[in-house]
Amino acid sequence: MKKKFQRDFSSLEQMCSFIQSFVHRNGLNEEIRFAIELVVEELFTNMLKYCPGCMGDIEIGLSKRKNEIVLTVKDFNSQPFDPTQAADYDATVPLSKRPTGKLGIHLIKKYMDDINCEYKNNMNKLTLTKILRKTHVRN
Amino acid sequence: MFEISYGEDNEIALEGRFDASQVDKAREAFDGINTTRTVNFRDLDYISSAGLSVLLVTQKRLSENGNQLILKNLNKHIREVFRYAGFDMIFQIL
Repeated sequence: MKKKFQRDFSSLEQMCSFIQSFVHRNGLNEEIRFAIELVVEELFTNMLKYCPGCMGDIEIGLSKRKNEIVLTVKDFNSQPFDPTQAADYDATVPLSKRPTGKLGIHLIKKYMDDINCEYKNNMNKLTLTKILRKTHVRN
Repeated sequence: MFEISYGEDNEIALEGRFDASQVDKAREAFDGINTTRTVNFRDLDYISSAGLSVLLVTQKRLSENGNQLILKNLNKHIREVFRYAGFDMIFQIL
């Protein structure tokens, strides 16, 4: 299933409903819902922040294969955005030296098992995969 | 939906979803904190990096005067985000 969302923070609520619907249809549980919501929000908000002049909608796609979930995010008419190129976030740094940014990309990498980025014809296409475990299935 | 309320002993209670659309509202509340306070996560369902950053900025500011935010009743999903972010090492979690 896929859906386009307006490029605005207020779209986050509609995204939650979309993800909830996917999770329910596929018999997945709260753990996976939380992970997908977080990753989608982090990608979406990064796309908004780093391309403030961009106007197009952002398309979110979710599908379930045998033992994995594939999330695709398409940002039309945008600047290149590749989270895999972001500097690593050191989660062991003490409070006084801890940076207040870059956490979102770090969390995306923690939650997802594979991230693939393409930039073609002014479109960013991110394909992220999460391997499903038994704990992700609703009892 | 995201709500911030104040309970007994000046405890701060968070409710709902603390996402990027709620940062301005949260900043307004957390910028007003100047002493050690407990934040109750019992009714908080979700937090993203946007919410975590508000907590981090507050913790940094409070620590300059020996104060801190103490967090309690985090659900298991939020605990996991804290662990991934390494926030379990910079916040006291009850």
